[in-house]
Amino acid sequence: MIRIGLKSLVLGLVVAGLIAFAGVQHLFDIRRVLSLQPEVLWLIGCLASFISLGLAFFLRSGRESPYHLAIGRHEYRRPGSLPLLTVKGYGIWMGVQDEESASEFGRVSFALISGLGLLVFGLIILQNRSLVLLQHFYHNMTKDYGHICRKEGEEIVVAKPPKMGCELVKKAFALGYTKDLGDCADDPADQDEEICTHRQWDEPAAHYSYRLVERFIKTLLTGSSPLKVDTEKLPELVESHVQGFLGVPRSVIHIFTDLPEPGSWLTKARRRLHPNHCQDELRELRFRMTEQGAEPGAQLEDTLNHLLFSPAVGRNADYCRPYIIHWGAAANTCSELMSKGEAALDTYDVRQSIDAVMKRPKPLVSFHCLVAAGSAPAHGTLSYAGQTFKVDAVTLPTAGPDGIFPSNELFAAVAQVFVPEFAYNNLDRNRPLNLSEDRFQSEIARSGDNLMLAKFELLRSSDVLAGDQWVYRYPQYMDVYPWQPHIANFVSRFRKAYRQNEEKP
Amino acid sequence: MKALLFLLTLASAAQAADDRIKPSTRGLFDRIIVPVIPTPEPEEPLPAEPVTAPVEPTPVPKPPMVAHKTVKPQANPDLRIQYLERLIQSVRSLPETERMRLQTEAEAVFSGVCRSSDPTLALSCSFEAAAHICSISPNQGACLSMIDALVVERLNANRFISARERYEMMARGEPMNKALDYRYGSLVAAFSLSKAGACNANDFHCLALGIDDYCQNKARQGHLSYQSCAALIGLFIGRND
Repeated sequence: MIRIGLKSLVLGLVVAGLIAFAGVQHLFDIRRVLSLQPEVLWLIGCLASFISLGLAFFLRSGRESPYHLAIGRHEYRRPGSLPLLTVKGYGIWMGVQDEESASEFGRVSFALISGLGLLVFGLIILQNRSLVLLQHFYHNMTKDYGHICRKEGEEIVVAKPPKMGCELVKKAFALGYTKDLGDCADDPADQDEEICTHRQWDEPAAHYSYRLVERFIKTLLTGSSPLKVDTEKLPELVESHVQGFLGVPRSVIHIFTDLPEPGSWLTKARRRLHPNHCQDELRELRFRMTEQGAEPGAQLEDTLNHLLFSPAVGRNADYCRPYIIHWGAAANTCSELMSKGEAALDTYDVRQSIDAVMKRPKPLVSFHCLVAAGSAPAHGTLSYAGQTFKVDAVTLPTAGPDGIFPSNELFAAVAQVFVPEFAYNNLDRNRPLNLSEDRFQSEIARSGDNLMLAKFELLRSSDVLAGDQWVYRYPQYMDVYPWQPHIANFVSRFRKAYRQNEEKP
Repeated sequence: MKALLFLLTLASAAQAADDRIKPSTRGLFDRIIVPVIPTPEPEEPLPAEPVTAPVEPTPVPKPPMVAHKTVKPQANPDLRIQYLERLIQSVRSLPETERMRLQTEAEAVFSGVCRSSDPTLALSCSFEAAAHICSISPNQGACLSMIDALVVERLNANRFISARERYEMMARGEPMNKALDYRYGSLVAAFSLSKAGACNANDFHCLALGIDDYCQNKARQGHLSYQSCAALIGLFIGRND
């Protein structure tokens, strides 16, 4: 005969149920857990620890439960126990505490298991947004959600803003020039004494809440509800909310490049383990000339960060997580995606990510290839699950002997892989008059070594990204070259074109 | 040094915020924060020629406007640091009347002869104007250093006060120089509290090294251009001896 104390049994079942629910909802996905803010994880841990200790103390986990559940053969059951289920000679009985002890979790195990359950419960109910809601909990609970009916006999004078243009109409009406006030007439609803259905001045909050719920249910049942529930679209709507709740991305943009992945093994490991690494790297983003010895992949990553993700250079920055960079890809990846279609998805291991996004309404999927010089640019489409996705490939510029890509060509190539018709030229520069090399030379030759800082100011008129590559011939000036205004100008124009391109059918 | 600059910044902020506080005498803060047109002081008389005709000085031979095929590397790190050191020394060495004159002249240049919608043209013009302004100065080298920083400061002033703020201040009739002084003071306070600014107040080389490093960092972060950062900090430190 197995005898289990009721406290331990209930705790075990609740924890098992929570773990099963969280498992089914993929809440243990390490990417989801890491996407939570550290403060939220800290809050979950703290709450779980304190509440589990509290439960262990108040439920007297060290003592045996007053009731127990006995499972076994009929002849071993204790007299007076209540049968819950009996099948042939076996059954489940509920019994009271007696001299024969039931199995229970120990004091420590009880706290640990309840802590585990609370951790899982915290993961289920707490999101990044929860902290903000908690912060405003008191305010939200106490704020006035609607009008309060006035007391009997109480006069409330509310200064109404006059209707636009009505002053003259009313004056004309008073003088007899017009017989009709038209729209300027006082609203009759304001004049009639109606039964006030808002919260009564002495009505408890719970009663008012009950009335609101009752009214809502009545309107639903009578079909006069302004909230029209389209039952056909309901599953889709629920699924959409569930996907949003679980943090499933709305878009996935695959970028393939034949350049090797930059960074040390530690950086690469961090990229794989920490899904938000891309956001962290944005903090390190700087406006400067590419340093000697920089890896080609790092140069490409910097350019992508500036163009797409950096909030420091303009509005409309994208979130970096949907963008997946496939380093060291074959040079013909995009041509294969275009020619082989769906069959190529498994080759490049992208099907799973696309399937995840396809659960969302209006998914955004696209493929972009930035391959080294030698391959031709190509633009096409790929059809999958009844939808057509864009595939664009452009050629990276030829790197110089020092391995550095010309910055204007690299920016242009990356921009054109997302917006093929994008161009940035003389007409787009920040300042109307560009600074020619001859002009620069003549200006800096003036006044000898004096006016150095004003001469640096001249460089604002030379936009490397618009083609003023002559600046590179003066490496000593590149330390102080003002990259920020030029990059910001390029990026703002690119992002505008990118948004317009995305909105195209 | 840090404590001194921090106190100066706080004082300038307080003064910029409150018009009612006016020092009874022309003390240190008055000289730094409220640029007024200087009255000639008897103990430091200006040369007679410039005082009588400051607008049309004697013509200075212009350097040839020929495009050079080879450019002297003016911007390498050592030269930059030497230049910044010279800037602080120059501003400090100039008498208060001369500083005020240069400030007024720099403002006049950009609101008058060198006013242009294109900054490149304005800059070219200011190079000529700087030579004219400093031709009457008793210390031409120091004058050119200070006018250089003032030119950059004038060109970048609008980056410190947004168009909306400018409009509001004009509507209220508030002078913009006070708000600018407050913001420059904040920049210098941030510099002096940074590692780069950990120098003795009279160690100009250390300060120049720090300014160069700090301003390169600022430019890379996209907050401020190198030259405007260096000019503002150099001017502020030079003026506050």
